[in-house]
Amino acid sequence: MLFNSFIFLFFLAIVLPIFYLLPKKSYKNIFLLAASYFFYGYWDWRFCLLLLLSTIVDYYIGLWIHNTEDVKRRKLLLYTSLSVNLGILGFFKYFNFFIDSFQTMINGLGGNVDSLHLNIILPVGISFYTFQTLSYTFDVYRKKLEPTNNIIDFALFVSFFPQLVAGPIERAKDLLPQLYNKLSPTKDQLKEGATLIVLGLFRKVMIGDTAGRIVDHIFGNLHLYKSIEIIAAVLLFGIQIYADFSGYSKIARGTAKLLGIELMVNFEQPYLSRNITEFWRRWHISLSSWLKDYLYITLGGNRKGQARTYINLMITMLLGGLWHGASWNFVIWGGLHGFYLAAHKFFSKGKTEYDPITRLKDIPKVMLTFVLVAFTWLFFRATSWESTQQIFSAIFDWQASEYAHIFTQILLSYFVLTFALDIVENRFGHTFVLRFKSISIRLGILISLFVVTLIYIFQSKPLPFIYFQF
Amino acid sequence: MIKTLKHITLFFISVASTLLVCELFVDNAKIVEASLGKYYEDIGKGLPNNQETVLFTEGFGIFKTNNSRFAGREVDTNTSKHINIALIGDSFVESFQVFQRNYFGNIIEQNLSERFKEYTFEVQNFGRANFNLNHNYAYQRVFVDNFDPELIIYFVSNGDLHLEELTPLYPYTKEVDGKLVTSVEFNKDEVERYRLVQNILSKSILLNMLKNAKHATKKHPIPSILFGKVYDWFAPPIRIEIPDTNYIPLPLANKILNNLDSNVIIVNRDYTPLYKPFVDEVNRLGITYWDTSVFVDSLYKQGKDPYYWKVTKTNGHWNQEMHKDIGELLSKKLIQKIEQDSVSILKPRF
Repeated sequence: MLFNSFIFLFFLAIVLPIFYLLPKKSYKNIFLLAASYFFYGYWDWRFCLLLLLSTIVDYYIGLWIHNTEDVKRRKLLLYTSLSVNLGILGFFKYFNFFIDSFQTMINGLGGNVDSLHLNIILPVGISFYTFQTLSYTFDVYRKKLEPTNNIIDFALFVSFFPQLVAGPIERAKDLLPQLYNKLSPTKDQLKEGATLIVLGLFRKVMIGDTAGRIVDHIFGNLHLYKSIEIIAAVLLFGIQIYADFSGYSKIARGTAKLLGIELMVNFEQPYLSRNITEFWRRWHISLSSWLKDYLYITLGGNRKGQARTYINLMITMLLGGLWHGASWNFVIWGGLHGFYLAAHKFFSKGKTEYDPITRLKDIPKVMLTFVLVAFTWLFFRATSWESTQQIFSAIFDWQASEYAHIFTQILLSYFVLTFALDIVENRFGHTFVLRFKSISIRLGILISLFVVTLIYIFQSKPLPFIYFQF
Repeated sequence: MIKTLKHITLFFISVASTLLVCELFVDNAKIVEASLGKYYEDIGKGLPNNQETVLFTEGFGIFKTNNSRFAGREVDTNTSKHINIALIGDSFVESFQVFQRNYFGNIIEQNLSERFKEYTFEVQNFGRANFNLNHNYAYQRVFVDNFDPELIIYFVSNGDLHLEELTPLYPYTKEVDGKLVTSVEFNKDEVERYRLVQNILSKSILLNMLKNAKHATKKHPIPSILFGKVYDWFAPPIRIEIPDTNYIPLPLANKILNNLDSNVIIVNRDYTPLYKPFVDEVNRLGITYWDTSVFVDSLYKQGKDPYYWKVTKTNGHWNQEMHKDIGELLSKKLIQKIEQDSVSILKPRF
């Protein structure tokens, strides 16, 4: 079920009143669990079986790890959880990628291997919930978390619908304790929740989806477009993916607030970053912190000398790239970010002070960071090496476009609105509309944005969230 | 009381300010385009002149209308060795789903210019959405003929031969005392209503968005838009109407054929052959007739669906590949035709 569809609004309109009326914590959690499975099964009911399997495995493994002090047994249990979760993820997401790469390599070396490509449907959001359940098992193994002995609470932690398919990837220590209590939103949560949903929908639909139409058409038929049009598409993709994902995260947080749950902030105006290290503190925060805690630090982080630090950084980012999808382009994307981060670490000599407020004097640094990030989006969106080559040849073999003025105007419009919203958010917070003292002004702004967004949803087919495919 | 008034005022000011920001963004980012219709005394509902438009349909189109009110560059009236080829038809000819440079008429123009280097060619796009044969003929007489085309190509599908219904405010043809008469006389109230709506729509791009939303309900029932898959679970299965292959077009169709000039070519742009009685009449009158349905069939056999748009995953008008393919096919046919009839087609204009 897409957040940017009417059916989701109807779903909420049914779920919320029933949820509020339920008297007990256990009833509320059971009901939310059922609603989450319905939400997920709306795509394809078979996906629910994988979710259930992952839930059962990690629930029991968590308990067994906790109940034993035997180091070997604990390790064995951890590896079992890793094998099951990563096995499912690997099969559904990476089987074809590795098998195709292997076939290409062998055939390239003169061998003759037939295609073993399988028609596998990638379950929506599998990378997100796999990482979420893995963090639970890791934390229990590291004795940072007491496992829950209530399977309903755990199942809800894994499948909680607002963040199930595209995060934020919540840590058990943050989300689970909230589920132990009777969920009941405060007045502030209701206000903030509704505001976040409206602002998120506006971003996702009016900025992300509309920019996405141009991006999809151009990337889908690269041979038909001129240099400037392709460059515009790359830059617009930077806007699209940000509006799409940050919009989704806002709706997720807003919906969770309406249920009395606080989810972590996933985006902090990343395009206002002054350097690449800061970018990764502000972009997809739940993933970058997951990778830092469970991969980078596990590899030794910066404790094993300078050279090892850079290698660890690179490995983390390469795997982070691969997490996004089974394609060498994602690996290149991750590799580029790893290189940027290493270079920044090297030149800044480890000084990474972070001022959350971006100022006017930071504009050159912000622009440079944006250009570097935008360059990596090219690999991210192209998805195949052939398309990447086509883009580079279009850029280097320059062809003027008779529509350059239109593309410039379109780009400027998206940039002005995106950056304006980010600057306001950076100064006044994610629910900046609520900073107005007058309720009439708040309502006026939110109702207008909501109505405009709904009209657009009504007249066009809703585009799925980009990160669903991951 | 004053407090309430203050609240209401603030509410409306914030609504107006927010909508203004949205309006500016939607307009400049080309998210929605202003309505493309304009009423003219001489041709009825036509395209606005000198307007550049970005349109998202099943495809992504950019095109500009000229001063003469059709998509394309200005008409050349100063060159002696200049050939105008007018394309008449419905939205398939209009080709608003692709960039102007990729539309099949442009491909034809390039190929002809390359073949007959001493001449300049202009393939003029007179396609209009919802035109049938009746409108096509009337449009030729009231508008297209003004540009003195050396060749006129009618793109016709079986749907265009159903002349029982006309689209309001489009030029039309009627039979008066056994003669064909073209007309742009419409019900005055209808004209005024149309002008009023266009006037209102021209004030705000958000209103155009609202209009598009209303149009969306014509394609999909409202419950389907609102309830998505849930609607599909309960909706009755869609009945596919099989067209009657024995359909005989109204006598007006034959009358139109009889009144066509000798420089007219009829092209079947459909994926099925045109109704037999119509084709028989075309052949009887010796009108040049090109049937592309066989070509479309061969594309299907090659695994190409000329109506499928892979980006938006929808079926619709000719996709970009088809524009190229049909452009190449018609270029070949036109080159042959011009070579055969070079004396009449390539004669100097003055």
